[in-house]
Parts: sequence; structure tokens; C-alpha cells
Amino acid sequence: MPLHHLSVPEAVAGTIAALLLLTQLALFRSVVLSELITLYAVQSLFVACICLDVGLVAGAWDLIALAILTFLFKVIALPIYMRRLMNGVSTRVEIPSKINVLLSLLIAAALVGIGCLTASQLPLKTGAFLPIADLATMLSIVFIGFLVAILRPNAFAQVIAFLTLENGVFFGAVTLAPGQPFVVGILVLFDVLVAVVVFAVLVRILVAIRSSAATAQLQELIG
Amino acid sequence: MLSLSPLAVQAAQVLTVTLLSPLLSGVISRTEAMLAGKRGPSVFQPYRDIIKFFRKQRLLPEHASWVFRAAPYAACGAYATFATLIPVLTTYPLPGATYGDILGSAFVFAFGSFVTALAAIDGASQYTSIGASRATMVGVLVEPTLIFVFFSVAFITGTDLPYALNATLRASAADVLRPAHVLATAAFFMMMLVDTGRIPIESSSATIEFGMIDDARLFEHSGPEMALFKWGSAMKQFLLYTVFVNVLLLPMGLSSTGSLQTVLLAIVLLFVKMCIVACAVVIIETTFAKLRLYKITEFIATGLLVAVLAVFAYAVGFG
Repeated sequence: MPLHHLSVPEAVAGTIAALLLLTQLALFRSVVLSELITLYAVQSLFVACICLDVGLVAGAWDLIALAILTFLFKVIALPIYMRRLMNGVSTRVEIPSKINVLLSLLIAAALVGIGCLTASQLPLKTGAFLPIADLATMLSIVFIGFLVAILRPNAFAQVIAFLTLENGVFFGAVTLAPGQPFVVGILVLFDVLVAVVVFAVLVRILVAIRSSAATAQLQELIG
Repeated sequence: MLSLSPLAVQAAQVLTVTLLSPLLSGVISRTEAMLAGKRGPSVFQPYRDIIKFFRKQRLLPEHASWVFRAAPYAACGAYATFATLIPVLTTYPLPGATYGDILGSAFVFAFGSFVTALAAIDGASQYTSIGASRATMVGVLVEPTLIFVFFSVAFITGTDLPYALNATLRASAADVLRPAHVLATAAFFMMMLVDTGRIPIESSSATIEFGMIDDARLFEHSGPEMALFKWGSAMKQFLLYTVFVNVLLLPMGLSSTGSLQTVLLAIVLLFVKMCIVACAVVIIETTFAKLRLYKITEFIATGLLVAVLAVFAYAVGFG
């Protein structure tokens, strides 16, 4: 394959895409809730960086403002809130015995492969920010986010999986369609807020009833 | 401007690796201690240790053969040869540098570990044999990851000669940041932690036989041979850091003319770049917990996964 030399914005987008993918894969390695929250904060920082980068390259003040809002909300406020919510809950995430860390990583790798293959087959125009890599990253993060939510039976791990999934969508939206209106970005942030509030209620109820955030106990519910 | 002959620069390259490697180990130990809130040993302590071992008496196990005595010399020789094959100080190939590509260099490098393991088994002690078996197991698992890393970098740059890899990445600085290359570099960094015996794989300062891998192989050695092994271990670390900074991560700051000033500047810059990488390693070492022995495969498997993704990413046009 002939070498296509990258421009600086492409290189930055590519690096952040790779870093996002690495943090997403790291979710499987982590079995302690505080580590999961840290990983989410780090991933959100990368998303804020790419938003700022796209804003600076495209000269769009709304994206720069969105980057600052993302930083304040997702990197600082939300992790602090989740750490406070975590008090009094068991800090370890349960891992099913049949699908262990290694196997879940292999499944994740296969999903990344599907994401990359799908993105490479689409006729994307070459933009300023490596569109194929961005779409592949977005798809991979969404797939892995779902996988984490399925394989980790813990309300906290599931909310973090959902939030990282949203980070992937946000990354894809910012790099593939940098001209999106400011209000759409704000709405995505608001969406996260609603999800966190719902999960917070769920976690509080689970902890109040069973002093654990494991979702397995929900199977005992009778309608 | 005083210009050095290529042969002199090659000698300087080997001398840089040989003489500065204990200093790098010293800097890492000192930084580790400082981060842990201690004063720590002097950065020159590894030199003192090596000199102390050179002065000590040589004791050999009863049944040890010539392999036991020759191994440290062969290991140090392999590391010194490796130093001639990679870009340590210059951007242009020096005499003998093109005798081996990156895979050939890796074989020379692996020879050092091989003879160390042979000597450990030759000593006929249980502890050293266990150390050799663990080190070989880890080495076998690391090998495919490194091959994938070099394949992915070779795909991106279209060559697998270390000097040519360096030149291609230097020609376009942004290419260092392409996703496939970032993933490959991340995988190499993880394998560097494994190969240099750092946390999360093992604790470099531990003396408990249960968790030891690399150091466990050296229990039976003493005197000058032990000094050579310690020195070789420092050289191994220095060389891996050199490949990381000069071939993969920051291929800038090397001498392109071979003049005395630029070579000296390259030595200083190389050490500064290495100290930056060492800081990252030390931060990992102080913030992460050591993995249990049977969990090491998970860490290496994650590295392999990242390296495979790097090749795959490039193959499907990911970047």
C-alpha cells in the first residue's frame, strides 16, 4: 500500500483515535471501580482535546466552547460525582468465570476488526481528519462499550460503558461533521446527564436494598 | 569543525551504550526512590556496584562447565553488537550497521538472553533454573508481539532497516502520529516494561524468589561474571530505550554530519530523551501494582492485541 503522508491535523486525529481505542480496551483490564472512573476521565480528556483541535483548525468558536464544557463536565464534575456515589459500595467489579479478561479482550479485538473493515468499505471522502480511522474508532468504541455493558454485571461498570460509548459517538460526530450546530453538542452532553441521573437512582436503590451494585440481583424481581 | 570518521563514530556509539547504561539505571533508581518519598542512592551507585563485583572473588558451582563462565562475556558481546546495528547517535548507517535488519538485530539481542538462560541451567541450581524457565516463557510470549510491532512499522515506512525506519519517520514528523504507528509504539512500550523487568510484570528491586524472573537467573554467579551480567542488564535496558526513542518515538536530534559537536550533542539529547521515557516508566512503577505471575500472560496478550491491531489498522487503510 503506498504511503500517504499525514498532515498535522490528520496526525493529531489519528493519535487521539488510537489513544481512545487503547483506553476503551483498558476497560476490560480494570476490575476496580475507581480505575474505571479514571479511565473514563482520561478518555473524556482525549475527546475534549480532539474537539479543541477541530475547533482551532476549523476556526469554530462553538467547538472550542464545547471542548471547554466537555472538559469541565466529563473530566472534572462527572468523575467526582461518580466517586462520591461509589462510597459505601463494593469497589470490585464482578467478572463472569466463563468470559474472563483474556477472552473478552479477544472478542473486543474481533469487534475492532469489524469496525475497521466496515469503515474501510465505505466511500468516505478524504477530509481534514482521517475519516476512515475516525469512523472505525467510533464504531469500535460503540461495539466495545456494548460489550463491557454486557460482560460486566455491575451498575457502575454499565454506566461507564454507556458513557464511553457516548464518548465514541461524540468523537465521530466532531471529526466527521465538524460543522454540526452547537446545540447538538450541548444536547449530547445533556443526554449524558440524564443517563447519569437515572443510573444514580438505580445504584442508590440497589445499594439500599442489597448494599451492592451488582445487577445480578435484578433477576430475582417478579412482576 | 572537527569531523569524525565513521569508524570512530561507530566506536563512540558502542562506548555511549557501554558507559552511559549504568548511569541511566542510576537515574531510574534515584527517581523511583524520590517518588516514594526517600532520598535514594546516588545516580552513580550502579558504577560502584559493578566495580565492587569486579573486585570480588569468583566462585563457581561444582558441576559448572565452560558455558557458565563464557555466558556473561557472550551476553555483553551480543548487546555491544546490537549497539552497532541501530541508530544510537547518527542518522546515517555506520560501518557494519547494515549487516542486520531489525529482525536480525532482534536475534542478536535474543542471543544475550539465550546464553544467560543456558548459564542459569548449567549452574544446576533449582532457583536459577526456575528463573531461566520463567524468563524463557516470558521471552517466548513477547517475541510475536515484537515481530508484529516491527512488521507494522515496516509496513508504514516500507523498510525494516533501523536506520531507514528512522530516516522515513524523520522525513515526515506527522507520520509518527499515525494511528497504526501509535498503536505499534504503545505495544513496544508494554513489551519494553516486560523485557526490562518492570512493574506490572516484576519488581526490579525485589529479592523474593517467588516473583523474580530475570534476576533469579544470576544467583549462582559471582565476582567479575556477576559484574558483567549487571552491566549487560543495564545495557539491555539502555538499548531498548534507544530503539524506543530513536526508531519509534522521537527520531530527531541525531547527528547527520558526524562532526564532533553534533555527535556530543546527540549523546546529550539521547540521554535527555531517555530520561523522559524513564520518568514515564517510573510513574508506572510507582502507581501500578505488580501482577501475579500467572496474570503476566494477560498483560503480554494485551500487548500482542495492540500490535495486531496496529498491523490490521494499516492493512485496512485505518491510517
